[in-house]
Amino acid sequence: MTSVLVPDSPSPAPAAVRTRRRRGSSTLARAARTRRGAIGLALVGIVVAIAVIGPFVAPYSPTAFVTSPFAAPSGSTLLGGDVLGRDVLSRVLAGGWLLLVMASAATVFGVVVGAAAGISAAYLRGSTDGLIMRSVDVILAFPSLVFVLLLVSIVGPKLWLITIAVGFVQAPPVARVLRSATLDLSERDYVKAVELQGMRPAKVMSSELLPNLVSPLMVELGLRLTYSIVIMAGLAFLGFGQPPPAPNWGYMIQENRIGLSSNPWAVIVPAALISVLTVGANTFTDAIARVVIGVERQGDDATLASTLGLGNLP
Amino acid sequence: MTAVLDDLPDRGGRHACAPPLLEVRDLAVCYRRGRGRVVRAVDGVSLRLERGETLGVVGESGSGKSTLAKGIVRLEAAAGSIRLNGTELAGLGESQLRPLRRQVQMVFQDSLGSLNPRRSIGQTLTEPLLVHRLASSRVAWQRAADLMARVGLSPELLHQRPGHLSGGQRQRVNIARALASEPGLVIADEPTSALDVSVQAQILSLLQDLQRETGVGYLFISHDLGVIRRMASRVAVMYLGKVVETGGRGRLYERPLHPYTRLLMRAAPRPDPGQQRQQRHAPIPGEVPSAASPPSGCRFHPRCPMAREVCAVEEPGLREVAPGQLSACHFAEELLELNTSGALPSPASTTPAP
Repeated sequence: MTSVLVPDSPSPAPAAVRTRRRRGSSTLARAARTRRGAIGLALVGIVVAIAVIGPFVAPYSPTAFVTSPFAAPSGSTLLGGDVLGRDVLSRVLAGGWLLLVMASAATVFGVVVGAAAGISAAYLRGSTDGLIMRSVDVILAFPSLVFVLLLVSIVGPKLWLITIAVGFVQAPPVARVLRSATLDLSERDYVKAVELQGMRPAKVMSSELLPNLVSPLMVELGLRLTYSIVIMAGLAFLGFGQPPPAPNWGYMIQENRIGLSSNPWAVIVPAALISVLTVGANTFTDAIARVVIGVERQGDDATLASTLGLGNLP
Repeated sequence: MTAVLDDLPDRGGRHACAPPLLEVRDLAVCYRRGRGRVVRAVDGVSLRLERGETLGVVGESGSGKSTLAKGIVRLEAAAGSIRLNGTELAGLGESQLRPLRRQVQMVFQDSLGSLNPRRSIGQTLTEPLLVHRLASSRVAWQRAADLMARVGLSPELLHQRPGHLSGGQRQRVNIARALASEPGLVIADEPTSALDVSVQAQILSLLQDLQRETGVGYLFISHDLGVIRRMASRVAVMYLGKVVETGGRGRLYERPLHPYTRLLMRAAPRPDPGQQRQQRHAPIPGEVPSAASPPSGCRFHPRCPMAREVCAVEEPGLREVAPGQLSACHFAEELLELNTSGALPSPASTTPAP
């Protein structure tokens, strides 16, 4: 009997395992099964596939000069040439993965920092709450792109710095959302019960509160990913990304826009990929949010959006 | 007032020097509402509870019973003295309080809300032991299984989430959790109010059995006089943040010495049809006033059929009217002479105070 009860025994009761698995994945799985979620996931999937597989299937090196500047599409260069006569298709295929990796890393960093700040502020209350939330207000007062540019111009356009900076500006809105979600939870009797047992605040937050905040966290991850991509692409457009010969969707828009009339594909394709990725991530996030709130029927969109902070851009 | 409380007979017949399990003096819990307005939800309550004893706290909703409980366990900031086994808890910081926490546990009314929906029953039950490092994970899980058996549940349920259990099962889990750290005192805040009557009876029996086995003391909070009568050996009646009457169960039910207690007993529906015919179920007129602006003088006077001029002016203190029975009514002696729990004397003066 006891072997069944001990949690680290090799074969715990199958029922418990099944419940846990289903709960953990159900929100995502259910979101993917909605029409909205399926479309969003497909859009993200297409762009991710291009970014990941692209570098291996590119016909040319992204830095090789294979045609004349802004050459129109031809048989050998399907999307024509860019400002320096490099193959646009090859640069598009090779220029996405770093954007995705950096945006994802920034998002995870931002959500982790923001969640930690928001949960601590709500649970510890008092001066901790005041300090954290006032800092959040201060950071939110800056336009996020300006804030990142400021940091980057001080330290220099290091990729790690851009990643951290982009993550950092995502943290305040995450902190706000998680704070309000935690405020509601921390009044529950089960939190009182573990406090009565003498559980330390750090443990209460990590093992009692956090598991009940998975849903808002998932929504925030998706939402912040969208913003990270936009900010990252914007930074690259402004020249803060990998240093020039390296391909980058954001920077491609910037360097090729002077040739828009001769070879528009050099601008349209990277811009479209960024748009599709953003729209896809946003749509899938919206699907998650709908599943979380339980409004898969035609609900009040405005209320839903404001509940999860989906309405306002940073 | 507190001096009188100390003279209460020691029911356990224990050594006179042994400190009581719980001794609360002049406990006050205040909330700040808006600008500068202070609500005294619990106002100067003194209680005493011996080891293995059950003290029932009864009152209408809004009387401050639950706030009293939260004040005692310091979930709410409270002024006054709280002595647990002679150790003063008031003024201790949370870190000093932490090692003492295992000695007092609580059972909440909402059996679902008091269990974390994302954690299994086993995780919930092992936590008290793991928090205080009383046992390894393996031992804690075995002990959780023992606890489950003791509260009459199958250890198979340890792997379930609270949502899969019935209300009665969940409340058994809550009781098991409260007892896991082997506390001397369990505060039960309306533990059966949300349950079916049949389940309610089972849970009450379980609590009584566990008290017999472990010698735990209960501070049992309920609005239900019948439940309190069954569970408590002594009773404290609360009204608007104050104790208005306290005494041994037998005496208090037989001959209440505060008009509020009398009305509360008349308001309670009786299962005995004979008695019911004799005395109609009579609700107490009016509603509990807001604790934000309590009435002047005796807090009960606007609803009291016995109220006279003095009641609106002077606040009566809790004093011993009969041996071991304390009442906070100016005219408790008159009630003592009446000797029956039935009708209330009409006020000597013409009209009740406004």
